[in-house]
Amino acid sequence: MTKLSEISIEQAQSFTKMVGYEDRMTGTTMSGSGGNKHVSIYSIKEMLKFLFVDSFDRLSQRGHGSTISYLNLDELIRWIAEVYEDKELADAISEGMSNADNYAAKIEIAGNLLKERMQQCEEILK
Amino acid sequence: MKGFMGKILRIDLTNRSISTIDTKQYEQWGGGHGMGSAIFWDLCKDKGIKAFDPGNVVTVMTSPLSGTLTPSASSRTEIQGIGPQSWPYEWFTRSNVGGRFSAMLKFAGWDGVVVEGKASEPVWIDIRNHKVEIKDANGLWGLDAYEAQQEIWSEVNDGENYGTWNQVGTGRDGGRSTQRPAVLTIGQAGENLARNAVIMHDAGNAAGQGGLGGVWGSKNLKAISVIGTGSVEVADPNALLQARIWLHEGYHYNVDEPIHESPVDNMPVYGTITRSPGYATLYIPYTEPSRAKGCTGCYNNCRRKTSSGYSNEASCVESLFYMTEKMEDTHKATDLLQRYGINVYDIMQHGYLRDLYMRGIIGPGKQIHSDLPFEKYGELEFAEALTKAIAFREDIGADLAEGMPRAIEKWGLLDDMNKGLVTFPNWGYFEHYDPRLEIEWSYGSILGDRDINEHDLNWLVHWMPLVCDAVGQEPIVSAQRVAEQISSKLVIYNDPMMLDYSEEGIYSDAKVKMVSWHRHYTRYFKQSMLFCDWAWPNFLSVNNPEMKGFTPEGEPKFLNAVMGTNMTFEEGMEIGRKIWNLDRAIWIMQGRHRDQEVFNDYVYDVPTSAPYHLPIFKDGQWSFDVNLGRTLDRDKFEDWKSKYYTHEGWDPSSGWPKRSTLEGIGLGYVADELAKNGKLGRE
Repeated sequence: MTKLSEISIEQAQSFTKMVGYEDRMTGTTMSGSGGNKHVSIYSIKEMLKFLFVDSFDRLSQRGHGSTISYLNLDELIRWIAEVYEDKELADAISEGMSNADNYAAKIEIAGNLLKERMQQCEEILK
Repeated sequence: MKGFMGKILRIDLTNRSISTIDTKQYEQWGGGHGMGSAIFWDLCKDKGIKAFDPGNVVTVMTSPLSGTLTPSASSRTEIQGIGPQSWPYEWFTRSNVGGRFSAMLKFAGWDGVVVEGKASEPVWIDIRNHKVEIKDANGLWGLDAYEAQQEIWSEVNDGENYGTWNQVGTGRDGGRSTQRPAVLTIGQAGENLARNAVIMHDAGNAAGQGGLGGVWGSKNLKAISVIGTGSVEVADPNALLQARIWLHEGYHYNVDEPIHESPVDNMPVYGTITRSPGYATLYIPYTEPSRAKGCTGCYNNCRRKTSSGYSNEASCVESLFYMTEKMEDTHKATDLLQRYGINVYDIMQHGYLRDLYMRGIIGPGKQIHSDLPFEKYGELEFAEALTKAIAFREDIGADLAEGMPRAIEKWGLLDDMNKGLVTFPNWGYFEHYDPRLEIEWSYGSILGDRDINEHDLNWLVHWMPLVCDAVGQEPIVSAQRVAEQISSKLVIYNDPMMLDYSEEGIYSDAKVKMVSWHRHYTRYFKQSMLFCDWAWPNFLSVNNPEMKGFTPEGEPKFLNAVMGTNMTFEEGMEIGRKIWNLDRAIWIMQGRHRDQEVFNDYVYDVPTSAPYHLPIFKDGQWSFDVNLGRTLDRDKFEDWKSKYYTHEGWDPSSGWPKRSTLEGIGLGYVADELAKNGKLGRE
């Protein structure tokens, strides 16, 4: 996986900020019993919480008890590049996802890269 | 006819009078919903009243199957009355609760309870076999739903522990029981007339939709408790036992040797399909020790009891109410709903409130003043404040207790609803499944009174292919097999095109048949005979080596064993049609006209933006499509309504049933009443 470059304190502060209503991302939580629910996402922290698909085994065993969080992945890349102005991360996510053949694999890649960047931020902002 | 106990308890709270209704008068309706609607029709003289009017009649009904060995049908309770939740009209409505109540009521000798009038002070109803008392509930008023049940359990058994043999009543024939009484109760939300208040039972069972908890509050009725020591006489116990074994061996998830343990190597799939125990409790992780828990007589046991005690018995959407960083806090938030007695569906879109906060519309000193801790959104603290505010009508909770759509209307934000920023497609009910696409759900809802919440087709046609696609698998069952196998069971139509969700298919004649089949099936088998939504019908079972399903063979097999009849599946569907027409007549007496049966604007104007898998038939081939960018076409839907009304024997200009239709199903007296009020459809 791509190793992300070091970032500055200013970049870290920007990356951990909450965005306003107009700049939020919207996703859809899908569950077998509850149907679909729109979710607004206002920060990378919330995005990390949202980006989650149960494993196939877990889905297989639990059915109703499982959830898919759906995002338009092109929108996610745009959000990272334009709202958070982190072009390197956006490109890394885009490139990583191009090698995955299903949605769960794509968001796992995106989630891992977001997590890596978030850890960098937490380190530098300690 | 066997399966009935012979009498229905009738209570007038205004006069504090207790009487009985002979069940025989209503046996033709099956039980549950059909019986409740028929009793409501007879006893609620002015059907145009509001939900909180003392004249509102609430029925709490069992079925002939309650308290018997019938799997996943032995203890659901159907509750009906005029509901305050629907918006902008307060329709006659229904809700259904599992647990133990229905079986226990039968064991006490009753087929149902009818509540009329309004008590001058808070009361609860204490049923111990045939002995019934209306008791002072001042000591219970103000308690949450868990506390109230604990108080009643203690009082009924004179403070003795349960789990040992206890005498029920004082007579020598009273019998003994190790069981706690089964209690239906409201929490503080119901006491404070919240339109989104539920009626709770045990830890995680609720009659949630419709706001009937608020109706109990308006009647000063805190709870109904029942303990019974009798049993239900069935016509052919051996046939019933053999039927249960037939179903268990042929279709049940075998915990020791599951046929589809591995989804990769075998035909699969998923908890709802495999019915593995405990599958229905959504957000309890595998790491938390728990055991499966079922309603009385169930063979699936879909719920769970946990070591922590949080979210016990919770299932379905209430477990998804509020996601936090800590799993324990998520479970605690669910418990808050259960304790206060709030309908999760109505406030499930709390994220919209947060959006209003982020837009600068809600908050201290804002257009909508609120001191709720929105900065703590995502933490338990916010959920605690929000649920308390609704239950006690504090802060914006005073508006939200009117139901979220009414709050939005009061706040002058209906445009948000029209744009789909908050999704209430019909009658002020939360969007459950996509109303633009999964249309037997949405059409069934708009033709009725609420979100139908019937998962009969949903798992196979939508969720299964969606999940498979998300994880890069081929659909477990092909679109063609889904269409062919399900339709083979949709007696009497048996048309595969009923399963076509394409842009043309959703307005087709076949979809007229699909919606009609669904309305009639659920009204009789599911809501009147009280077969559980999460087990019946069964179109396909992966626990069967050939993936057969037990519908339509199973339903009459159990009914006939219990009742001693020779009823066919088709005859059951006809009773469903009769009940659907009676409900229609009640809504018409409340003012229903076809012009009201339209969706919120966003359903027609805002295209779908997330993949939503459903089978479509195109160029001679079946496939699962993701259906992006779809809307419902206003004109085509109006044309479809006309076809549907015609199919049901209703006047397409008004949506009102014709006399010939009503007389043909034994509802001439209903036609007379509609005619008297100028509301009979033209021939």
